[in-house]
Amino acid sequence: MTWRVIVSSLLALASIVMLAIVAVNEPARMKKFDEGYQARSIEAGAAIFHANCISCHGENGEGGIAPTLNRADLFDPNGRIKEVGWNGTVENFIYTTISGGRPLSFLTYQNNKMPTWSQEYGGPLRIDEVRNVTAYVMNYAKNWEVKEGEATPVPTIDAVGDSITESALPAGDPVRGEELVTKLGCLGCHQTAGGAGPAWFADQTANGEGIGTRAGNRFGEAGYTGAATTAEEYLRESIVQPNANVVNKEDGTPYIAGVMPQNYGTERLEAQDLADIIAYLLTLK
Amino acid sequence: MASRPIFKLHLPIVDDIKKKGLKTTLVETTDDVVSRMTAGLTVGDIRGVLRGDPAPKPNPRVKPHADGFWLHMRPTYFHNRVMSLYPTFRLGWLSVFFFVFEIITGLLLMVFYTPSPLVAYENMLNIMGNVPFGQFLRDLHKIGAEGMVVMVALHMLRTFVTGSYKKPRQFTWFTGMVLLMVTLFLSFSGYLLPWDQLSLWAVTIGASMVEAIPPQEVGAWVNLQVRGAPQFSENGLLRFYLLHVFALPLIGLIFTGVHYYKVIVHGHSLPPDAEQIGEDTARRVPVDKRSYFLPDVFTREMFLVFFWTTLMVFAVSVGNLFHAPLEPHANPLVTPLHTTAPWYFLWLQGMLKIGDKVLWGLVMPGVIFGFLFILPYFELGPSRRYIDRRVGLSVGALVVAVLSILTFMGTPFYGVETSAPQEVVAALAPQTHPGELRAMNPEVYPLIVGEWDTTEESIAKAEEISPQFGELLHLYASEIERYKSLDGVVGKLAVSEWQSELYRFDFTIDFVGADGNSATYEQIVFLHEKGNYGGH
Ligand code: HEC
Ligand code: HEC
Ligand code: HEM
Repeated sequence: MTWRVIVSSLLALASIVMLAIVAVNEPARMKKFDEGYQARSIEAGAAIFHANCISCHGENGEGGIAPTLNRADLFDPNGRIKEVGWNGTVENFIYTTISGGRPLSFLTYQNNKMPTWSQEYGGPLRIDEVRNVTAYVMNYAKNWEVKEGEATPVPTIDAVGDSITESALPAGDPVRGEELVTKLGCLGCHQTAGGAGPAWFADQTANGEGIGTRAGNRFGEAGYTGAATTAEEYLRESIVQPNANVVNKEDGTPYIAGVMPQNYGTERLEAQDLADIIAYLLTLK
Repeated sequence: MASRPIFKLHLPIVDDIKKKGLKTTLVETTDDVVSRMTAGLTVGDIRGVLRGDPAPKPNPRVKPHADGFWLHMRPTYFHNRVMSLYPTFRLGWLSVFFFVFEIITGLLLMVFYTPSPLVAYENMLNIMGNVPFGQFLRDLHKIGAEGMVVMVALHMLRTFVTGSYKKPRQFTWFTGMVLLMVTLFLSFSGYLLPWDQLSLWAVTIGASMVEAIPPQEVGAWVNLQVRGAPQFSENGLLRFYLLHVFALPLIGLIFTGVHYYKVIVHGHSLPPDAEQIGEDTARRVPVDKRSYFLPDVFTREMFLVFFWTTLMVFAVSVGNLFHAPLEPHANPLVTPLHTTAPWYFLWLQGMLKIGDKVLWGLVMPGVIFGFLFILPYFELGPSRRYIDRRVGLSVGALVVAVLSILTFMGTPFYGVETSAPQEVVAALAPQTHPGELRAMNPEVYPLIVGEWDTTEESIAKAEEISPQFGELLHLYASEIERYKSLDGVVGKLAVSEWQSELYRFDFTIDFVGADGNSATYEQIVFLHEKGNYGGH
């Protein structure tokens, strides 16, 4: 036999061996690919979320003028989806909500609408992008996973509560307060005249009074239904018990009660946070 | 009346076994089947071929050329002088091999692919993550495509160098040029199919030339025909797919037939020194100068098939040397920084950087290819000898050199300047390939949460935690140093844990803009621990 025939045969043998090696590694490789792809999908979703969602849902899903997405009951099969009567999976619920939006709100504490996102329904995102951002939202579930033998995770925050007198607040830092109102999405409702809630800034109001000035007057006004006796107390009350006194718009008609989220005091703010926000609001004369 | 059986089964082999015994019958039957399939060679003949035994007389090895389908298209014998590596380097055969290799791997990939922007990319994910041997096939198809371009180009170069395009082989060259175009466009049309960022933008750049055809109306019309819409989408993808899997392979197969028929008709040209100037003796091979196809040519060709197949299998499997890339899903709205055309069209992209799109993108390529098509019809020098073709060969060498330079100019290293801070971050976290940041071992992420910058102290601190991360900040600093406009600027990088296993990298560069005002460039990169970019 010529050397070519011999070498060819050896090469064929080598190819077969390599094929066998590939075959043996295939399951692991495919799994790793899927895992890697899922991870990249979350990465892409994070970027999409950053570009489209944070104005309403908060920079890291902490909520703002739209519901908190980083929360336990959204991912609990007996939580949110049960409450709204959804028969599919949580992932499906989230995917569908993002794709089609919510023409009608089923959350009572918000009056905003979730926009439509998928191009299928006239939104701006391609289907794969909706999938990516869904993967990203679903990744919040890991924060709330109940490990066997452990109690249901509770937010590590020591909420200040909704009383305005029970405990005194520490001294506030207006600079941090300003950061907080952005992060928490308060500005989504309070930034400009005609927003979902009364505008805070003096240049946005007809009488030139910012929230810092108003806070000192509100509790003295006729029709005030709350219990505050100082500007600080008034602000504290407005934040932790928004319905204690529902203020009027500039045209004299009342704001809709319940639009402002009701859980800042009970779930989302610590005493220091509240103090800082109040300190900041008082600077907005 | 004797009863006639309505059905009678007769197996001649049974008679044979009875008559001659089992062993002899089996041997004879096998021989019979084999010699029918090979159109004339018995098992013994084949063994003789593989062993390289001298041909018996009469020579059974010529029978398949007369009676068989496949070998009837191959010559029975070659001239001794074209048997060694020189002059053909067997590049024509290798072109055929790569073409067939692509058809086989391509057909298998077709099973898992639908040409629609809605699912094409998902199909890729499926091929990579769900189809056993899927990535393997995809890698083979891709490396084979690159190989085919290389082989065809080298084959062309060799026929040019040996002057084989000259009379009487002008038309062989001409059909070869058609095959060159087919090869290039096959590769190019295939580029679009994965529907990822790389494919969409590489092809968009390549196709942008047609838009420049004057007058404007015609350019717009042609552009519309190519892309199926102002931008690539459903129609464009379908068109490229049909070109890729149907039209171009068909044209390629037909022209390979014509091309090779011409090669047989004229015989392989002998080395230029083997014959008198102006003579063409390739067809008259004296009896003592014949090398028979079986076994000499056949074993050489088959050896190359095994060699290249094994090499490619090695590269994409155990060797881990080559993998077809898959970037994020195509996004017509986001042009990644620094997209380039496929490498075999970089020279065109390079030419476009010289100047006018019409002149350099259309007229020049048109002139070059047109010139090549008709080369044998006006380059009429009778001699194929190198010594007589000094001018022609020098021009050829010059063309190769110029193409290489243009190719370099086509890369982003040459003459593309976007904003400096953007370039800096893109050097660390590019949009067209993983890059340094993603190549970092994900296990480092939790250790480096915090604020960093490109100052010496920060880099020193980073190095202590992770040399890889220190390296990255080093690169960040040296990238900033590359730009005059960023003199003295400190680049910042904040790393935070964002979600479970997901980290956020905030690049911030404060600089003084061209207008003299200070400006800030920010870019956020999210990275997941399991992103599998190969960092370790
Ligand atoms: C204009 C503000 C706005 C934007 C922007 C927005 N959303 Fe929403 N989103 C809402 C509101 C309001 C709701 C609550 C709807 C309701 O009351 O039922 C909501 C609900 C949701 C829900 C369901 C939560 C639940 O508990 O039922 C998800 C998931 C969601 N949004 C995801 C997203 C994603 C992802 C994006 C970005 C692509 C996004 N949203 C952008 C306003 C917004
Ligand atoms: C979804 C919209 C919305 C968001 C988000 C929201 N608010 Fe409000 N807010 C309202 C509405 C509506 C009112 C008026 C009705 C009322 O008084 O309860 C209001 C009233 C107030 C008032 C009293 C205003 C006045 O003029 O007397 C304060 C103070 C206030 N909000 C603070 C906050 C702070 C702090 C945050 C963020 C932590 C916040 N709000 C987030 C809608 C919102
Ligand atoms: C898919 C692409 C191609 C295939 C499959 C192919 C195949 C072949 C084969 C098998 C041969 C004979 C043996 C050899 O020279 O190795 C040949 C010869 C030849 N080819 Fe090609 N070829 C291709 C492209 C080209 C191109 C691009 C050119 C030049 C423009 C070209 C020009 C020639 C010429 C002139 C010959 C005759 C060589 C001689 O007789 O010495 N071919 N081709």
